[in-house]
Amino acid sequence: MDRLSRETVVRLWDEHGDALVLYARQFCDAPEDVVQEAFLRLTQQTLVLENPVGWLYRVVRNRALNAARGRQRQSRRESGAAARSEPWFDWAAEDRLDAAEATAALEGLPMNQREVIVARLWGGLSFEEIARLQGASLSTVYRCYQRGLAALRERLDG
Amino acid sequence: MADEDRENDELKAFAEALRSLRPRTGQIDTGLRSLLAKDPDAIACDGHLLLCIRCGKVLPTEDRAADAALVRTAPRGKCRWLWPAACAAMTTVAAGLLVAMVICREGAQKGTVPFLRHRAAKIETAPQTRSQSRQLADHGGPPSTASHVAAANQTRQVEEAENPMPPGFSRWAVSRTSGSGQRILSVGDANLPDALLQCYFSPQNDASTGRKLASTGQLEMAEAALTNHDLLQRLLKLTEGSGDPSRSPNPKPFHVREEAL
Repeated sequence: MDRLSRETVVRLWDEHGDALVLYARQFCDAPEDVVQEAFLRLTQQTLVLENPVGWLYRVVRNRALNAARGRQRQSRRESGAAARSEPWFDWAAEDRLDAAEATAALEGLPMNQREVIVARLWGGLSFEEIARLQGASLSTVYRCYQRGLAALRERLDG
Repeated sequence: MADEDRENDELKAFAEALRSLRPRTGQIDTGLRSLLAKDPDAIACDGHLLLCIRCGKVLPTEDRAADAALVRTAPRGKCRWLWPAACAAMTTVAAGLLVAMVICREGAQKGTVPFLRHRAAKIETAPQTRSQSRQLADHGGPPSTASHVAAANQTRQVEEAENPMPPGFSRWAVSRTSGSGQRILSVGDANLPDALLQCYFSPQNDASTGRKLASTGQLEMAEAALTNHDLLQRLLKLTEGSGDPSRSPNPKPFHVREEAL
């Protein structure tokens, strides 16, 4: 089996790289490393992937969860270490929403709602793909999306 | 119904506003993209990336391929210690040979038996069991003179077994060194011409003539000549036919064993 072509990998990075970083940021503090490892695994992948985007999200999710577990163990050992807080979005003058406020609002959401919103809005995944990714039903995913979006709007507009 | 539609529209507008926020990717954007734009074979290096942390450039593929080849060809495990072990073994063998050569040379200069014969004699004369050691301890000292003689005989047997001499010569030499009151035939006599032997074996001649002729070179030649059976026969005939017993101070001047022939 042939690997993915160089152009395909670069195109996937251009289209989904930032969204994957934001998606991995929901789980761990080192999303860049997780996404980089996922893309490197993609370049070494010998099997033909029907849905490379979904494969990337699944790899990023698994690796980010593993990194989060390792981070929790490390933070337990380093009890005095302060949690790292970086802005999730780049600031731009034409943005209608403030990037820092959006970050704070997203951080306040439950994990399942936050994951669905990020995967849907910035990742561009369908609800079916998100349901497969989370291992949940379609209705559950849609309900999480609606509730999370309403909560964000209430926090940012209110 | 209209409220729900209006709420959904507002949520969609809010979602679009959220979507307009650009996720921050940091340094990975430039580094990883430049990396992915390169040759995929350059990336796949056993899962490791040799990436410059300042400029994001990947180390050239040729260098990594050369490093990988070096790692593959480097000795590992047991092969790593092969040449030191071989060197140590050769040094040990050379040292052993040197010690053996020095001991043999010293033994030759002192006139004693070489090293290996000494060792063989020690093995033969050493107590082999605890009972023998206990017997030695009960007798209160070193072995007696008889045991010394037995050990010397064993040593001589070992010598003869290791360096066998011609049968005639060895027994002739034993005869030469054993008679105390007799006239002893020197091995140098074997190389003498018949006329000299006749003169030498005659009662008027004294032994000094034979000793005078028996230089070192003649002794060596005599040793070689004594291996000849015919020469021994001739010497024996000369010995038997030489001299008149009435004129001879020694009625039986030569002690030659029959078994020497």
